[in-house]
Amino acid sequence: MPSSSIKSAYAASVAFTITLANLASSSTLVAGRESTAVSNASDLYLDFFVGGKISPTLGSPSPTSGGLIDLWAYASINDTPLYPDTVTGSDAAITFTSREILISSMRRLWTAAITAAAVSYWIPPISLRETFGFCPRNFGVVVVHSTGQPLSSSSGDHALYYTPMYNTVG
Amino acid sequence: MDTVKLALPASITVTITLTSLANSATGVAGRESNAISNASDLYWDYVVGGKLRTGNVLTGNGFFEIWAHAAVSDAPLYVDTLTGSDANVTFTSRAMLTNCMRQLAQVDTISSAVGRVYWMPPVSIREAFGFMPRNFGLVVINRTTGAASGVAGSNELYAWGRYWTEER
Repeated sequence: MPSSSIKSAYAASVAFTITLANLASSSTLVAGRESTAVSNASDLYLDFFVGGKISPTLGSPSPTSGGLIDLWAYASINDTPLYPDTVTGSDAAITFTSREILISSMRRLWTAAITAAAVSYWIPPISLRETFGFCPRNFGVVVVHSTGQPLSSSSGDHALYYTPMYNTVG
Repeated sequence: MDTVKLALPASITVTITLTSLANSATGVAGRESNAISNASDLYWDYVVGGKLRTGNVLTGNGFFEIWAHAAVSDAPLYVDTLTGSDANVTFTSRAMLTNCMRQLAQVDTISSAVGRVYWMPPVSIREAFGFMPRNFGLVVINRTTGAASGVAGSNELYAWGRYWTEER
């Protein structure tokens, strides 16, 4: 009988389009920045892993110890694509209707409780399929934080990537 | 009828120098392995296991921690202070360590049995991350209260790729 191997494969990593430099702190964690949405409508990948780093201010005054940085993922609810609440699918400032609506309409990828130290916080690679239970057709990320100061003003201190995954048979 | 089965290529010894690895009371310092690239093998999963041996001086009960990290991009870009090479590593903080890696195992050790070999059962990397990373590595944190065994070959970790085959 002919035999084929079924394996995993990776496409090239891509940086999310999201402007995080100087992102203002939101004490209620309802305002932040959304990324440009990624469409999987034609690529049809099986999964994406998302990871990177986010930096509170690395200067003075220091961020507030105990503040949070949240990374959320959004997905379209139809193929229009229609996004939840105030999400537009474009790299832009965003304010959710409420924290409860943010929580109920998105999927949390990662949260860090920060210290006052001037350090970057790393997000380990996280599977979107695992997060949503399926691979979304259109998706993006949202960053909100309550570090008490704007995020680092240097765009190089922030990096969010997605890497597509699929299977090969051959 | 098509038949889908597992394929099990040869296991490999992970390149990580654990001989006499120092104890880290705060759990922020340890040893990282050479990273393993799955960019060309494209395995569906890796299973990781091995053995760790305590040294001859222990001041109390403790444990080894075995963690996995993965690159966040195909550069590959590794998290926090990790380099992807067999080297000592000190994380920015314990919170950073727990936030940016996945714990594979904690192997408890006891002070009354110095020089004892402890076994880490095989653990799935795919299961730990929820997907199969493109580049990943291991980190061992020694919290046994004493240096790990200095006996060569007494600390070894293995990685074992696997994928599927389909017969028609």
